[in-house]
Amino acid sequence: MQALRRISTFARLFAAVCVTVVTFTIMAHAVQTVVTPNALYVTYSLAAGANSAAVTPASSTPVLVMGVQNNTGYRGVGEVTLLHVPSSFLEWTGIESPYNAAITSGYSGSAGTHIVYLDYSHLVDIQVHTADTFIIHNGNTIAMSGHVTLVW
Amino acid sequence: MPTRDGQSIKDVARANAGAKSPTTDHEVIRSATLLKRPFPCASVEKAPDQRNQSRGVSPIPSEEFSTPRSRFRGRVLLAVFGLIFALGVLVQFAAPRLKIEHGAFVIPSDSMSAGKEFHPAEIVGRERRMQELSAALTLAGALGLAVQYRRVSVRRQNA
Repeated sequence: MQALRRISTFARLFAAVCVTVVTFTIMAHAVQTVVTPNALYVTYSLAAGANSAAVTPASSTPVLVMGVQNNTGYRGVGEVTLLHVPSSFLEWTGIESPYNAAITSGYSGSAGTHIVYLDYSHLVDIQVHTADTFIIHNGNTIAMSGHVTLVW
Repeated sequence: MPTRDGQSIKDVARANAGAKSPTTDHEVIRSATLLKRPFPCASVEKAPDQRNQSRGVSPIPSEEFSTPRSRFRGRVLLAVFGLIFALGVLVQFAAPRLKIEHGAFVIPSDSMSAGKEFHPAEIVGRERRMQELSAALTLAGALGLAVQYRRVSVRRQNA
C-alpha cells in the first residue's frame, strides 16, 4: 500500500513536471513567433534555366524583396520594394545588382517581365510570373544558389 | 466557517451533526437555526488547518470537497483542463512550425521548387495565430490543472 502511494505520488510529480516543461516550451516558441517581424527568409538553389516556386507577396502593402547570389564569380545583391495589386499587377522600384546598379522600376502583370537582377552577371533575376506572383529565374548555364528575404 | 450556499450548510451540518449530535438524516433542519447555532466542528477543524499552515499550504475548507457532487465537479474540471491542455499541444503540432533565423521566418528550400506557389503573408499569419492559440490553450490548461490538483492534494491532506 505504501509502495502504491509512493508510485502514485511519483507519477503525479512526473506528470506535473512534464506539463510544466511542455507549457514553457510552447510559451517560449509562441513568444518568439509573436516578436519576430513579418519577414521571410528563403533559400533558393536553381538548376540551369530553372524557375523557383511562385511567391505571392502581401497585397496593398509595401513588400521589400532583397536577394543575394552566392556563387563565386557571380556574387551580387539587389533589392526592390513591391506593390501587389491583387488580380491586376505587380509594381516595383529598386536597385539592380552590380556591375550596373541602375534603378529598376515598373509595373506589369505579364509573365517573364524582369523585376531585378540578383547576380553580378545579370543572369539570375526576379520576374513577374502572374499578375499576383513572382519567381526567381536562373538564366545561367550552371546551377545558382542564394537567399531572398521578404519584409512586409 | 465559510460556506457557499444553503445546500452546503445543510450538508456540512448534517455530516457534523451525525457524529456529534443525535440529529439524523431524516430530520428537517432549518437553515436559520443552523446559522445561529455554532458549528461543533470548529475545534476539530482547527488541527488540520494548523497542519496546513505549518506546511505552507493555505487552508481550503475540507467541506468544499465533502459532497459527492463537488467531488464529481472537481473531476469534471480536471478532465476539462486536461482536454484544454491536450488541445493546446495538438494545435502546436498542427502549426506550420517555421524555423526562425536572422530575425525572420525561414521557408524550407524544398518549398521553393518549381511548380509550387506559396503565400508568405498567409503562412506567417497562420503560424502566428496557431502559436498564440496553442500558447493560450496550453497555459490555461496547465494553470487549471495546477489549481485543481492543488485542491485535490489539500483535500487529501485535510482528510
